[in-house]
Amino acid sequence: MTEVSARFSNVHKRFGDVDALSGLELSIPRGSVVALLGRNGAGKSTALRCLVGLERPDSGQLSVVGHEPLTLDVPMRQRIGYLSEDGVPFPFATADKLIRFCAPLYPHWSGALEQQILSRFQIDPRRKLRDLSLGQRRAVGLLLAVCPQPELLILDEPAANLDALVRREFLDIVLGLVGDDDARRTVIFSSHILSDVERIADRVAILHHGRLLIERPLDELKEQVRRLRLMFAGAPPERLELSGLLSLRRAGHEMRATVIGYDDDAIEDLAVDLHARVEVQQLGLEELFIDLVDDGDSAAAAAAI
Amino acid sequence: MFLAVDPSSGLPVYRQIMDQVRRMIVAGRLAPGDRLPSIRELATTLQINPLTVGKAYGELEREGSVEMRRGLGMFVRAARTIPRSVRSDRERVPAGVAEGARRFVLEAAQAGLDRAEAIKQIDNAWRDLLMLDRSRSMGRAR
Repeated sequence: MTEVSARFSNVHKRFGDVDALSGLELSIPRGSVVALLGRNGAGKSTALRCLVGLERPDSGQLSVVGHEPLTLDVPMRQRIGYLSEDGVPFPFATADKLIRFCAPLYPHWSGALEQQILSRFQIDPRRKLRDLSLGQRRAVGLLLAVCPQPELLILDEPAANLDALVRREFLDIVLGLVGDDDARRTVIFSSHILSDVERIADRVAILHHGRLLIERPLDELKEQVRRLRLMFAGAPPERLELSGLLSLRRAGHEMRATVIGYDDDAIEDLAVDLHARVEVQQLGLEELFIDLVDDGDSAAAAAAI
Repeated sequence: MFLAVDPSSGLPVYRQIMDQVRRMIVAGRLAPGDRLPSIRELATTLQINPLTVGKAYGELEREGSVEMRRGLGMFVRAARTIPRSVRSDRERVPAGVAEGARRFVLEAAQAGLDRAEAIKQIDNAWRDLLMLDRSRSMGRAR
């Protein structure tokens, strides 16, 4: 049985008349590095905030390290690290003051990691946070999330607005934490930077309109998802009923279908059945993401898998 | 060891690692008894998730190309234990290089390079590869 680090069951959350989460189902296995993807407003931040107890869901069940987030006691909270989208509050505090305030709250605080991050980002801990660069401020936020050496690390857009070099450093630090086999740490992070995701995530979950569109190991997505360019002699059919159809677009005599779970033989058979010529394309994560979230109809198709 | 991956490719990263390690084994660039970098080392140099490297090594071990020696690391196995399917790639490796060269020459010609300029590109790329490899081994020694 796979141990579950976090789980959403039919979670709903509404802000005013906006549904941020509408029946989110997602389970995060322990020891995995899961990237949460989705367009702006897809519900990523709300989902993560619910996990750490910063939002109370309207309905549904949540569990994190085996418990309901709002009932976590101190020792359980010490097992979770979190970097919010907005980073660190207290702009007038010095980095040192903030770190010395947080460190004693955690029994497994790593002083070595703290030093490593401060020196890597050349942060003078005597300076106030508001006087640090954006990258350095985010690094302090990351430091506060990773130095407790948490069992579950939750990062909301850790790399947004950072330059490529700083992002590399961030990835290194997160990978360093994951590399410890025995600890089997879990990382959940949201990101729009798909090239980073492809480096460090082993699973990918795509949210769309507050629901889960698809959740798979990244390798499986790349191995099993294909974009088919179907070329018809006459007009393409009105409808295409296919199992594993993720998205469908039509242009003149062509259809572009993104499908999951078809091997070469199955694709050949499909083309013969449809009396169409077919070109097959393997997709990187970026193309796959765009195919999946680009049109509203695909959401229903993918939910059916 | 010359290894480079393209995480944005449609080919999963663990498959890229497997293909490249196999190619080096088949071509003799990795000999039986050679040690592969540790999972952690390779994940750090390539800046990828250690789980991905672990998966590639696991698959290579399962097919019999490499073996885990407890506490010592991952080693290339004796030639006879390497599966026929991998060994039979021997002819395909030079063919793959030739194919890559044809693609490169085509692209260079289309871009308007002459022969000397194209060769210069290869020289530069070759030097970059050696430098990358050297900086990695220095990184390890540190």
